[in-house]
Amino acid sequence: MRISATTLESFRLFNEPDQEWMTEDDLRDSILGRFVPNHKVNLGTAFGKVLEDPDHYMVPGGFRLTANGECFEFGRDVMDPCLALVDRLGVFEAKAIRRYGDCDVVSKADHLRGAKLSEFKTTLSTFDFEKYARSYQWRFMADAFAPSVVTYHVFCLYEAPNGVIELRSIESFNLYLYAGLHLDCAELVREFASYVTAKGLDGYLRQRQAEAA
Amino acid sequence: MRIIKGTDAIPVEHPVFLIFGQPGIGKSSLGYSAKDPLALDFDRGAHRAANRKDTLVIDAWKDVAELMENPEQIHGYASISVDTVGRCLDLMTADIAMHDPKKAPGGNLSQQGWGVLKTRFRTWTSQLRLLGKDVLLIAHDKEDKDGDTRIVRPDIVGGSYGEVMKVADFVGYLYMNGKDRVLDFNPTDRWIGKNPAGWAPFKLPPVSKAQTFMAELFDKGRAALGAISEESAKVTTQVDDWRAAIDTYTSTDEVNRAIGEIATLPAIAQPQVKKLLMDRAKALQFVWNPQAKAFEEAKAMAAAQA
Repeated sequence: MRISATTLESFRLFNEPDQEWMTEDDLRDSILGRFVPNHKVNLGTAFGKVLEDPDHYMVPGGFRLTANGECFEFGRDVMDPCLALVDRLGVFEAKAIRRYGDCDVVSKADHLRGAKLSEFKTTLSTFDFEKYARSYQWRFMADAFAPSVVTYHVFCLYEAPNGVIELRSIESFNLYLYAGLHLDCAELVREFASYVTAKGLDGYLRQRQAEAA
Repeated sequence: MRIIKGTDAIPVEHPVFLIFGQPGIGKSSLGYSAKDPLALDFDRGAHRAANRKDTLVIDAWKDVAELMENPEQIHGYASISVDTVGRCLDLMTADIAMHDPKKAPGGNLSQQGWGVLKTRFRTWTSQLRLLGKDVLLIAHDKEDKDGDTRIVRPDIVGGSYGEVMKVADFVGYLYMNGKDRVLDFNPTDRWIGKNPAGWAPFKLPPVSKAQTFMAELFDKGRAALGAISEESAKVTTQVDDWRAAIDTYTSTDEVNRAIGEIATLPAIAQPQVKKLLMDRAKALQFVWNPQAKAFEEAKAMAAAQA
C-alpha cells in the first residue's frame, strides 16, 4: 500500500478520544484522495506558495495569488517577517518514502536546509504547541528524512471580515527524533493497514503502490 | 567580531532544560547538582531539598527584576534553576496585573496580557542565557485524562505552557519506577519530552550521590546540540557542492549519471539533491522515461512514442 503521512495523521486524529469534528466519511474521503480543501486549507496553501517563491507572486505592496480558485492577498507587513525565517538556499517540497512492512509512506517536507527540516503552518486559531508536537506528520517526516531537527514555524494569522489578513505572531519551536519514533510510526501504519483492509479501502492504496512502482 | 558563514555550525552554549515530575521526587535537589547553581525558589520549597546550595527566595517578581538589574549579583553562578517555572509565571502574571491592570482585568490575563507574559518570559530566559547561565526550569507534573490514557505534562498554566515548551531545548520527565528514580527525555504516549541528544532514560543515582548530575547533563546536552549543528553544516556543504555541480549539467548523460550517485547519499541529503536534479532536468526540458528509468530529451521521447 502507498499511504501519505497526511492520511495517517488524519487517521490518528480520527481515533483521538473525544474528537467530534471528523466523521468516518471525511476519513474515507481523505484515504481515497477525495479531499475537498476548505478556506483554511486554501489559505495555508497560498501562504506556503508565497514562502516558496515570493518573487512569483509579488505585486505592489504585497503578494497576490489563487489557491484552488480562491484569491488571497498578503501585505508585506504580514509576509516579510515570515519570509525572513526561510533560507532561500534550502530545498522546498522535497519528498521521501519510508517502508513499513508492505506499506510505503510518502512524506513531503516543506523545506530542507542541511540536516534541518522546517514545516510551515498557518492557523487562524490560538497557537497550541501540543497540536503540533503530538502530530504524526512530523514523526513520519523525521523517520523518512532523518533530520537532526524538525523546526515548526507556525504563522498565527487573523482574517478580518473584509478578508484582510494580519500576522498575529510567529511561533517557532524545535522537535527531535527519539528512541521509539520508528516503532511509533510502524504501529500507526499497522493500525491503519488493519483499518483500511477491514473497510475494504486497501484496493485503492494498493493500486497507488502499483502505479508508483 | 566573527561572521558565521551559512555553512558553519553554530554552537548552543547555554541550553535550557525543563524537568518535571511529582512533588517530593527530588527535582529541586537535582537542580542543586548543576554547575555553581543558584536556585530561584519561587515555590518556597528549597528547604526540603537535599544537597542545598545558594538559594534566593522569590516573593514577588520585583525580586527577579532587581536581580536582573544588578547582574553582578549572579556573576559567580554558572546555572540558574527556576523552581518552579509554573509559580514563576504566576508571579510574572501578578506583576503584569499590578503594573498594567488593563491587560489583566480581574486578575485574569486578557489576550494581550498573555502576549505580554509570553514575551516577558522569553526575554527573561534569553537574558539569562546571554549572561552565560545554563537554565534549568523545574515544574510539577499534571496528569490529564485523554480517553482511556493518562498523559503527564508539566504543570504550567494555559497559554504560557506553549512558550515554555518552545524555549526548552530538553524536556524530561522524572518519575519513580519501583524504587528507581528515572529521568526520561523521550516523548511517549504517556508524557511529553524533547530529546535532541537521543538519550536512553537515565536511572538517577541516590540523591546523596547525584551531586554533579545536572552539571554533566548540561555538558552532554551542549555537546549534543553542537553535534546537531555540525552535522547540519556538513550536510549543507554536501548539498551545496551538489547544487554547484548540477547547475553545470547540460546533457541527459550527466543528469542520468547523477541518479545512481544520489541514491548512495544519506537519507537527509538524498531528497534535497534529488529535488535539485529534478528541477535542473525540468529547466533543460528533459522528460522522465519510466520504462528506461532515465531522463531523455523531449524530442527523443516524442519520437520513441510516435
